[in-house]
Formats: sequence, C-alpha cells, structure tokens
Amino acid sequence: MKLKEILTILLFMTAGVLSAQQVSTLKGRVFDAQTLKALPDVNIRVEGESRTMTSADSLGNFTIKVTGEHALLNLSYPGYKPYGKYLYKGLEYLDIYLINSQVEVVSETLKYGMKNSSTAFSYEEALKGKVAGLDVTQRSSLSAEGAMMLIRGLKTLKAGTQPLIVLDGMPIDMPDFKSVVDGYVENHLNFLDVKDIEKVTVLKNGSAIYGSQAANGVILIETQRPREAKTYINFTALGGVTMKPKQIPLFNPDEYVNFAKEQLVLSGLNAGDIAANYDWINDRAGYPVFNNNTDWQSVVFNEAISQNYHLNVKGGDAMAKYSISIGYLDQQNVVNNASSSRYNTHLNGDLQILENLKMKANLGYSVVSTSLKPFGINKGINPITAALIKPPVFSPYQMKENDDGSATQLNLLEDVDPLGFSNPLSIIEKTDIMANSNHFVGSLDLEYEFNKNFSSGIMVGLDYNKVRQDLFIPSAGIVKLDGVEFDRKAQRNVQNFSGFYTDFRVNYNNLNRIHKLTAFAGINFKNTTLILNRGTDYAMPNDYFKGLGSGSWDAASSAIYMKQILTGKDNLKYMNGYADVNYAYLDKYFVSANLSLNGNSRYGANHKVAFFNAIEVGWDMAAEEFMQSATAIDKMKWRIKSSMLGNDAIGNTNSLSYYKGQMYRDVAGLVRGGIGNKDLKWESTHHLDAGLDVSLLRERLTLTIDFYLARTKDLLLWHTYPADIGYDGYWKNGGELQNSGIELSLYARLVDSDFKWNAGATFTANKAELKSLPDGNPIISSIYKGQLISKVGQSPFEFYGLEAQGVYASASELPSGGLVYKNDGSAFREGDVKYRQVAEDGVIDEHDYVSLGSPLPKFFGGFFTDFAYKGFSLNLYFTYKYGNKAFNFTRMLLESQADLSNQSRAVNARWREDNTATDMPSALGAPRNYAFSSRFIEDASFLRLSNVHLSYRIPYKNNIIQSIDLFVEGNNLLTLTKYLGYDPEFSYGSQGYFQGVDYAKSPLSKSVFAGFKLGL
Amino acid sequence: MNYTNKIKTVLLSLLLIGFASCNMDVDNNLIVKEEDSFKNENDVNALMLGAYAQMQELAPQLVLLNEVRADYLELTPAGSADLDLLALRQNNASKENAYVSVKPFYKIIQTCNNIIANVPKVGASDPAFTKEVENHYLAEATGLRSWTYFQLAKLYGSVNYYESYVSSSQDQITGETLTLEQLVPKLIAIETAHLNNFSAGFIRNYSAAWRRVRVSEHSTLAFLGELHMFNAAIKQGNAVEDYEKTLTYLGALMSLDSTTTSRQTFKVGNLYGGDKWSDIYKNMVVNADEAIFAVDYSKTYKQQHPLQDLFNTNPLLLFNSEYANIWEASDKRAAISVDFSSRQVRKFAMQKQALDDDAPIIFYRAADIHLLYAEALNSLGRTDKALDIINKGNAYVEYTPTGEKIYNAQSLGVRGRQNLPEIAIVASEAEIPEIVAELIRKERMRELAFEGKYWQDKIRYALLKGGNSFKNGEEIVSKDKWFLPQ
Repeated sequence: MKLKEILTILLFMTAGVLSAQQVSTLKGRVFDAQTLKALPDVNIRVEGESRTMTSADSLGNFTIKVTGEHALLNLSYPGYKPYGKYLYKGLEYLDIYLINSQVEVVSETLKYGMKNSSTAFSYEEALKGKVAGLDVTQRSSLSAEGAMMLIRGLKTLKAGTQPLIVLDGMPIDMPDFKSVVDGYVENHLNFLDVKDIEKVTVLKNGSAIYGSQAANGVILIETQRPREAKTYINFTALGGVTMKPKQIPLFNPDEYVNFAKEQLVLSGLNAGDIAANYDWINDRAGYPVFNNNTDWQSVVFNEAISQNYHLNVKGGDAMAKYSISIGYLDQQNVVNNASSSRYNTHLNGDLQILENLKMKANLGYSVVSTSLKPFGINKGINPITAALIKPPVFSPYQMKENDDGSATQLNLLEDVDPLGFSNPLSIIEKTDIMANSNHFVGSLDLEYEFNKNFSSGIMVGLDYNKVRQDLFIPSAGIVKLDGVEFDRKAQRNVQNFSGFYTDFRVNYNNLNRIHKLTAFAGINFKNTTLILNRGTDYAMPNDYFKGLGSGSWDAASSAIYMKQILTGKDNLKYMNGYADVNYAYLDKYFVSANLSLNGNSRYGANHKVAFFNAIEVGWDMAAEEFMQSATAIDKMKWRIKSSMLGNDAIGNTNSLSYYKGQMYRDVAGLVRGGIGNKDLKWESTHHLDAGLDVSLLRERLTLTIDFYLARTKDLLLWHTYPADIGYDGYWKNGGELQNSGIELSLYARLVDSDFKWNAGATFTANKAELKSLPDGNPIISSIYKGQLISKVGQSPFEFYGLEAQGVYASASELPSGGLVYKNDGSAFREGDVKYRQVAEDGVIDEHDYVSLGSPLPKFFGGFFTDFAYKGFSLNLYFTYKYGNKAFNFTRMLLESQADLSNQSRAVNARWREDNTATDMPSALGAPRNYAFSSRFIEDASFLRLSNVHLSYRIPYKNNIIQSIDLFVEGNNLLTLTKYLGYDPEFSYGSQGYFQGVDYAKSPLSKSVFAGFKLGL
Repeated sequence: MNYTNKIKTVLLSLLLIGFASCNMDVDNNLIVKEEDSFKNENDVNALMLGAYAQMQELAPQLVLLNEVRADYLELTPAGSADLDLLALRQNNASKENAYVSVKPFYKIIQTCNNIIANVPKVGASDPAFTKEVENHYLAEATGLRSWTYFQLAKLYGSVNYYESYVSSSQDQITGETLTLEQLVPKLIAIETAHLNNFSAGFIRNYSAAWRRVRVSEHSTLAFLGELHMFNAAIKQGNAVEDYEKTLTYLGALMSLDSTTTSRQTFKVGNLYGGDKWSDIYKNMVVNADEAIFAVDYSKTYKQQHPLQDLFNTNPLLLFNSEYANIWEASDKRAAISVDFSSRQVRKFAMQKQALDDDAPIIFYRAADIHLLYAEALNSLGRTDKALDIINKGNAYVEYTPTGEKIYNAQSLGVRGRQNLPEIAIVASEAEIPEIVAELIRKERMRELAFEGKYWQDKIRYALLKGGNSFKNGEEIVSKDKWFLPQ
C-alpha cells in the first residue's frame, strides 16, 4: 500500500524525536477572547507521549502535565471555537483566549446568515464585493437573471467565462438556454433561495479535482443541513419597495419641436415642404395628437413592491435529521408589468442507516415564473428605449378632436404615432412574455465507513429543469419587428435540461497527532441533455390571438413564409477520475496535491483525455518555536500554489466534422456545417498563487494577501480560411492570455465589548493581457452598433472605434481635400463630429479605429462596517469598481439625432450656425455623426452603498418563542458614478464580448425593505 | 516509472472502465456527422441539393459582377455612396472589396469535390446505388464544379484549380493556378467525358420540372456549346472544330422533342404576351421550357435573392437612358427589360408581388443557345442559316451538322417571337459575315440584357478579335482591367 509506505517512512524519520521522553508541567489561564473574562471549568487535554486531562478552576487557572515533544494542547468549551496548539519545550505558562463561535472570520469561506443582506434574492447578489478576486455584476434588476461572475479576471476569449458551481457536492452544468427575449439570461440557478444556503466557498484558483471545468474558479454552495437533534423553526417575512431609477433628462415638447424643425431644415426641406408635411411643427395647438407633454419614462417605470417569506424547520433524532424549508418570493420590477415570482422548497436529510452507513439526501424543487417585457437591442420594442426615443408631444391615449377645436383624451391606447414610434404604454400593457422554470435538483449520497481510516461513498444526482417561455407581441401601438415584414409575433420556447451525475469515491484519513493525512480518489460521470422545442409564428389574426398555428400560412398561394419550427437535442458526456491528498505536519507545514484525468465528448478525437493537477505548500510561521514570544500573532501562514486547470466550455460540437440541413426550394439538402478539428481541446490555465494569511490579536484582525498569475493557453479561437477554400474556417486552440493581480481581504473587530464595531474590506486589482495570438493579428469582434478588439499586449475585448475630437465649428476646419465617411460615402461638413484620422487618407473608415478602453475594471471590491449594541445591529456595505469602460447604447440613441426620435437635453447644446463652439454635432444626424466612437464610451466606475441593514432583537423569550428580530434594509441607496446611463451595473450576457455593453436592460435602483425573523 | 505516471496509469484504467460503460459520442440531432453520410442515394442527393442551395447565394453575385461594369447601366447616388460598389464600377476594386469575394464559388467547388470523392463508396452500403447511378452523380457534381470554375475564370481571369476538399482542419488543399485560356480546354475534356453519363433511370428530384434547376444532360450540352465558343474565341476564330462542336451540342439540345407538336423543349416559342416575360422564369407554362439551367427561389422557405432590392426597391444601378435606342421601337423586350420612366431594370421584378417567390436566376435559356448556335453557323460561313435562326427560328430546316431536322411549330426566331421585322442584309458577300456577327452581338445584348452575360460577351468578342481591349461606353477597357482581383 503506497500511502502506508510513505507514512511509515515519515514516522521512522521522527522516531528519534519520539524516543526522547520528557515530562514537564504547563500552567496557564483561559479567557474569553472578546471580554477578556476568565472562563471557568474548561476541559483541557494534552496529547503527548501519553494523554493527560484536567479542568480549569473557577478562575480559569489550570495546571497540566506534558510529556514528550510536539504535545498537542486541546481545549473545548460550549459556545466557543475549539482550540488546539502544539507545545514547545520549555513552555511553562500559557494564556489561552477562546473565541466565541458566533464570531465570524472573513476568509474564502463565506457564511450566510439572515444578519447580512436579507434582501439578496440571488446568491450572486449576496456575494457582491465580499470575496477578493470575485467580480460580480448583476445582469439587471430582475434578480432571476442572476449575475455575471468573473473570478480573477476574464480568462478566455470565446469559451465559457463562468465559474463552476458545485451544489452540495454535485457539479452543476449550466445549460445554454435560448431565450425569446434578446439579452434575457435564463439562469439555471435562479431557484436557490439565499436563506437555504449555509455556506459558500470560493475556490479562486479552482481545484484540480474538477479538472476541465475549474479554470474559471469553483464556487461550492452548501445548503442548510441539520446539525442537532433539537427542533428549530425559523420564519422570515419581509417586504419593500424598489424606487424608480433616476430619470435621464430629455427634451421637453418645445425643445423637441425646435430640434425637429432644425433637423427637417438641415435635411433639405423648405418652409413649404414643412408646412405641407409637418405642419404640426408650426401649429401644435391645431394638432391634438402632437399637442401633449408626456413624460414617457414615468409611463414605463414605477415603484415596485416585493415580498419574501421563508420558513425553515430543522430537527430529528440520533438516527434521522432533517432540514425542510419553503419559500416564496414575489418581486415586482421597476418596469411596469414585469415581475418575477419563486416558490422554492428544499429538503436535506441525514440518515444513519447502520452504524457505519450514512445517507445524505439533498432535494430541491422550485417554480420560478418571470413576466418579462421585450428588453433587448430592438429600440422600438424595448419599453425602456421606446420610452426614451418617443417624442414628448404624443400621448399614450388617443385624442379626440372636438368641434370647437379642443381635444379630449379617450381611454383607448394610441397606435403607432404619425412619426412611426411605438406607444411605450402598449408595450407595457399588451406584450405578454412569460418565462417559467420548474427545477428539481436532487442527490443521494451514501457513505460507508470500513474502519476509522477508510470510507467509501457513492453519490447519484439528477438535475432537471424545464424552462418554458411564451412570447406574444401584438400589433397595435408597436412598430414592426426589425427585419420582419409582418407585425405580431408569437413564440414558444420549451427547453428540457436533464443532467445525470454519479460519483464513486474512496476516502482515507489518518489524523495522527503529528501527521495529519487525508486523501480521497474517485471517478464521476455526467451526462447532460438539452432539448429545445421552438415554434415561431407571425401575423396572427388579431391582437388577442396569442397561439401559434393560425398566423402567416397560406398553403394555397404559398404566400407567407415566416412560420418556423426548430427542435433539437444537444448532449454532453463527461467523465472524470480524480485524487486528492492533504498532509499537515504539526499544523505547521502543509502540502496538498490533487489531480484529475478527464474525458469529454467535446474534445477532438486526438485529445480524448486531459490531465490536470495542483500542488500547494503552506507554512504557518506563527507555529514555529521562534515565534512563540510573539503572542500577538495567532497565525502567519505563507502559501504557494501551482495549478493547471482546464476550461472545457468550448462548444459541444466544435470539434466535429458535420453537415447541417439547408432547404433548396421545398426539398431539404445537406451542406457542410462544421469543419472538424481532431486536435481541438480544452483551454488550460496555469495558475500561480502566493499568499499570506495573517491573524493577529486573537483573531481581532485578519488579513489575507494574494498575488496571482494565471496564464491561459490554448485559447479557443476561430481560424479563418482564405477565400479560395470556400468555407469560413474552424475552431482551434492557440494564443495566450494572462491575468495577474493582487487581492487583499481585511477584517477587524475594532471594538469588541457590549458595543461591537467590525469593519472589513476587499480589494482586487487585476490586469488582463493577451500575450500571444496564433498569427499575431488582432481579433475584431462585432457587437450590435459597435466593435471590440483583442490585441496582443492589451486587455481582451477593448472597445474599438473612432476617436471623437469635438465638432467641426466651420467648414474652414475641414481637411482641405475634403473628408469622406466610408460607410455611406458622405462628405463631412461643418457641424459634424471631428474624428481623429489615424490614416491621413481623406476617408474615415476602419483604418481610423483605435482602442477606446477596456470594459474590465482595473480594481474592484467592497468594504463594510458593522455596529452592534445590545439588541441593535447596523451594517453598511459598500461596493466599488474602478477603471471599467462601458458602451452607453441608450446615449447613442439619445444623442445621435439620427431621426425625429426624442433626444437627451445635452443635445440642446448642438452645433448651430449661432452656436459653433460645442462638442455636440448638428441636428443633421448623418450616420457619420453617430458612428461607434469614443463619444459613447464612458467611464462606468462607481462607488455605491450596496446595502444598509438595521436590525433589532426584541428582548423577549418564552417557551415557544426563542427570538424575534425586526429589521429594515436599504439597497443601492447611494451611488457615486460619472456614468450617464441609468445605472453603471449591467451585463448583457455571459460571453466575454458582452462586458460593459449597456443595451438598456431593466436598471438597478434604490430599494427599501422591512421585515422580521421569528425563531421558534 | 515515476510516481505521476503510476497515478496516471491507475486513473487511466479507471477511465477506460468508464469509457466502456459510457461512450463519448455526441448525441445531437441537428447535425449529421461526417461518418453518417454517403450511405445511400438519398444522402448523395441531399448533398447535391445542398450545392444548389449554395448556388442561391452565388447566383445573384454572378449577375451583379457581370453587370455592374456594363455601360448600359449607371450607379445611382445611393450606389455611388457605397464605396466598394463604386470601386467595382470604376474597375479599380481591391481584393478586400466586399463584392468580389470568391468564397461562394469555392464553397460550391468544395461541395462538389466532396461528393465526387465519396460517391464511389456509396455502392458498398446501398446495393441500389448502381454504377449507372454513381456515374450520374459524378457527372452532375463534376458538371457543377466545371461550370463554377468557368464562371470564376471568366470573372477573375484565373482560378485555383483543385479536386480535393476539406472536412477537417487537418485537410490541406493544393491546387494549380489555371488561366481562362488554360482552363477552357481542360473543362471541355472533362465535360465531354461525362456527357453520356447522365442516367435515364431513377434519380431522386430529377423529374422534368427539377431538371432545369440541376446540372443535367441538357445543361451540359449548353455548357459544352458555350465552352467551345470560348475556346474558339481563345483561338481567335481559327476553330472550325469548335464551331462544329457547338452546332453538335446546341443542335442536340434544340432538336429535343422535334417530332412532337405539344412540347417545345428549348425552342424559342411565343411564350409571353405583353408583360408576361417573368413567366419564362417561373416556368408556368409546362411545355414552354425556355430555361435550361436556372436557380429557383422560394419565399415559403425564406429563400430570396437581393436583385430586386438592387435594381428596384432601393436601386443602386439604373439603366443609362443613352442606351434606350438599342431596342427597336416595336421590340417588346425593351419594356420588359427596363421601365424607361424610372430607368429601373425590370427583369427580376416584373409583375412580382410582395409575397411572390423571387424570380429564378437563369444561366442558360433557349434564346441564349439559339444565338450562340447562329453565331457558330455564321462563323462557319453559313450566314443565311444564321439569319434564319435569328429571324424565324428553324422550322423544318436541316441545320444540324448531322442533317437532322429541327422542328419548331411556331417558326419563330429570337426576333420572330417579338414580331420584329426580319432582317435582310444587303451588302457585298465579303462584308456579310461581319455584319451578321455584329447583328448577333447586338441581339444578344437586347435579348439577354441584365442577365449576367454582357461583360462575358465583351471579353469573348475581344478575345476572338485578338484584341487587348474592348470598348465599354466611352471607356477603353484594357486586358488588365477585364478581370476582378482575387
């Protein structure tokens, strides 16, 4: 037996020390670390050559015999954390400070209680700013969408970016759900109630046992487990209001009419044309439809009510323990008629079947229904952009002109207005979009103990999620969809995800006094299938017919073509063999190593097995003899870790050569779909981490510093064929991307008495740099209305476009040879945006593009401070990001002056013949003036008070009621930012290229909640 | 063996046990894996139809590239605003120009090469896939490839000729550069060899209605006729054999169904009245059969081409009214080619309603081959017969080299079916062949305007004359400007 051999050798090496017996006496005293009061009657044990035991007296004093070297002193006392210390030769007296088990220490392990941020409705939200290295960006104010999470930077260009989530020991695959609404992320993990979570552990440099899925980091989530046989019942109820986002200042009707007139004149119309076609500009009073003053943002946004209830019951006996919870969340959105509700149940049971056979069950079932609006890039249909660009002169309701020239507002929704803008109120009231998910996650874990060293476990798990999305967009009041000849659209999107997971593992542990060895090895299999069934139909009979089937089909004339049906099945097979060894010598020197071999249906034929590994060494300097006099230092652990991890989110079929269907006339043909690559494999990240954990003054102050360097090679990249190959290209591996940074976490118990004051902070500075690309050429990626560049020496996906340098005040400032805009061949003139000409060739085109900054933050984190006095406690939590750029698409709409859309008030400063000294171009609104440029790239750095929580525990207790807590809480109450959009925090999708693009999803805003927690 | 390797071995054997119980094959039902194709005739046919689906992308590009430089068209302001289109029009397009990509051509060539390479193995898994069926598909795929190479060479001057294909990143392509002059004889040899391999037996989707949108013995005859006319041009007219071959191949096509009165396969019948030109694209009259080789579009299946947009909806190219007199006053083809008030080209939009299928794009049709036939006759000195073809068709006249009678029930020539007066030439005997040749050129321009033949004809006539340039309006286009960059 290999491990025993090693152990024997180690034991043999220390044998000389063991033979030298010595007996000494240790005296000491035991205190509470916070109150510094002596603790009486504490059990004290010394494990040396022989075991001795004693108890402290009523004043905490004790005397105990110690034999041999490396004797281990152990103390235990109810309500306090266990204490252990190796005793050095010659030590005669020791003061011991026990730490109350209620005291939390911030480290990579986060514990959730109800204490902090009760109103985090998703676990991602609750993690914001709390872990150094973890950058959490909420996708929108719909918490069901979850958040974008980047651990130690963006480590890929085209592969998956998100960390692996392991729920109660089962790795969860994130299916790529398709959505009926652009940019709406159907979040597989939206069923988790934060209150069901007991512990979250963030493995920033992954763990090799999750080999090919660990490169983006691993987040271990453990749900509430029963601990004792006693019955506990907790009930929480809370409710609150989310405020409307602060408005973007827009034209009032007079400003709008001035602008419209100016634009029409600049576009070449004379007074006669305007009078004939746009007479309302001259005489609004004469045209009731144009004679309103509507604040469209108020039509779309409103205060939103949310409520949340949660009941948890824990109990059981020596044989069987359980924790059952049910929860309900109803969250209205600030966009009217959008909301989300969640029913969730969770059952965790621990069953002692035989003396040495244990079973753990984790079962969760939830129903999440979200009522959506058509958020997304389509400006005429997204209620937010539709409201922003809708001229204020229109009314949401029809106006009836009376005989006397006055007008009466009817209680009927107005249709698309004469200028062709949607009625945002119709979008709010008449579009009908639902996303429902029925999600079950369950696992059974059987563990059999052979003896005190060996055990073996088997786990089977099922993850099943049925997602159904229904969409209906009516005709009245809503412009036609982009690229579609017909109005009205109905879509059904039914997706079934099922993941089967099995794991078989053998554990070994040998917790010797001096040597502590734990090891495990195992193998697991995963088989996931995502089935998509989608039907789309257009031009239904009327706005009340929301089903598919009766629209857009006329077989007789074979007239209309839009009906679409798509059903497909996508599948991943995965297996992983892993091993892990941890060894500690005297709790002073630590070595751990783990590795895995991984096979996966995504890899090319030449790479069926991948090997990953990690090794970490640690040294707790504070445990050394020479540090014994430095009693202020509890811990000073130096760590170095090297790991080689993979990212297998490279697409399920990208390595395959295959054909796909394509119709020719009415018959289905086959065409080449993918050029296979037998060499396609995972991306691998080599992660180096050097860190220091320091704990001072009896854990009053803890500090963790990490320096890391993560170098990802074999990036998933697209190889483009030359034109005479005919095909686009194929996926391959190549290039290198490096993330390096520093992380800092600090936690201090500043005042620790009846009045308590704690404070802490996290800080992460990360630098991403592309080190190489296969042919050295930069990769240009297109996003809606913009481009990004990934170039060697720079951060990935930097914004890439023209650099605006003000406005040509007069024709004399134009280049003498004239200047042409390549995209439409138009010539620049006075009042146009002046762009930097990189290539001085008289043409503004892609040769003039420059990098406009990175959407990734230079540094980010959070800081907090907690106060507690008697039953009161107050927590303040701030989060910040610095140096991240964003593409403000809404401002592009509001300052483009492209058409008769309403514009932001900033446009009042536009160039006019009498106002030439300005940065805002003229009302002409030529496409050259709203090209993707630095005009629309903004600094989205922010500092915000994310959460304020004030609670009070009523000093009342009886046989039934154990505790009553009342609390009020505020989120996002204060945000300092220069960003001009609604909110600087948004995420359009998880892909690397969607960072920092603000396509007007429902914005985050302030909210206030109140509630109570009852303990029975 | 070191320690890591031992662990690897242990884990690897565990993995292998795992592999035995769980295979790593991708289970995805929206794709057909490479190894699951070429099992039977249906698979081959599906891939062949896929090639035609890819033709739907190429066809409008062919029309555009062959017409955008034509003198009878001019760019609209919107067209000039498109700097790539402008460069193309001004004959100084660069390789990066958005319009000149050769990718759609090579995509079809790859598809054909894939079929040609794999068809021989189908028989092993499908007994019904006989040698005859195999030869048919080889002829069809080879024919489509040859035709595509020929189009490439006419536009770009040379091709990267290869017969291999890529299906995975490991596959390499090595080809040879062939100029138009080198390619034409090669293609003649290849196509002649395949001409008799088209099957009379059952081939899926190869009914009469389908044949006009697939490479068939008909399209191959027309293609060989055109190839020989180009070959003759390359030989600067000293090519009796090529002209005779043209007569053989096109004559065979024109003689089809010559003994029946009910069918008028590839005769220039009086098929349309008034505005009904678009019918020849739609093939609504079953026995009309003007189109020999075309690409269809189906709105029902979201297959539409951009030519209507290009010429009509947001026109980038308009007819140059200085050329209005190329048609005689009574020539109905004028009104069906151009709307003279708006100067819009009508051929791809005539009578088209918003919900109609887009007009097919036709590469070979009856009038085209009749005019080539007449040209070949004229080049062989049979000027009278050539004039007959133009004027009144070829009823009951022994015109084919074999002396076979070609029957045309309506006795209509290319001009005849327009009710245009017959052309009689009064000139000295020596001048007549050149006058008739010029007449045929004009007739091709009038007949085939905007169908993607104009620029190629200019190149062919210039080659025939041994010249190094041709006139395009006021401009003299030298040989280095004939072809697009690639």
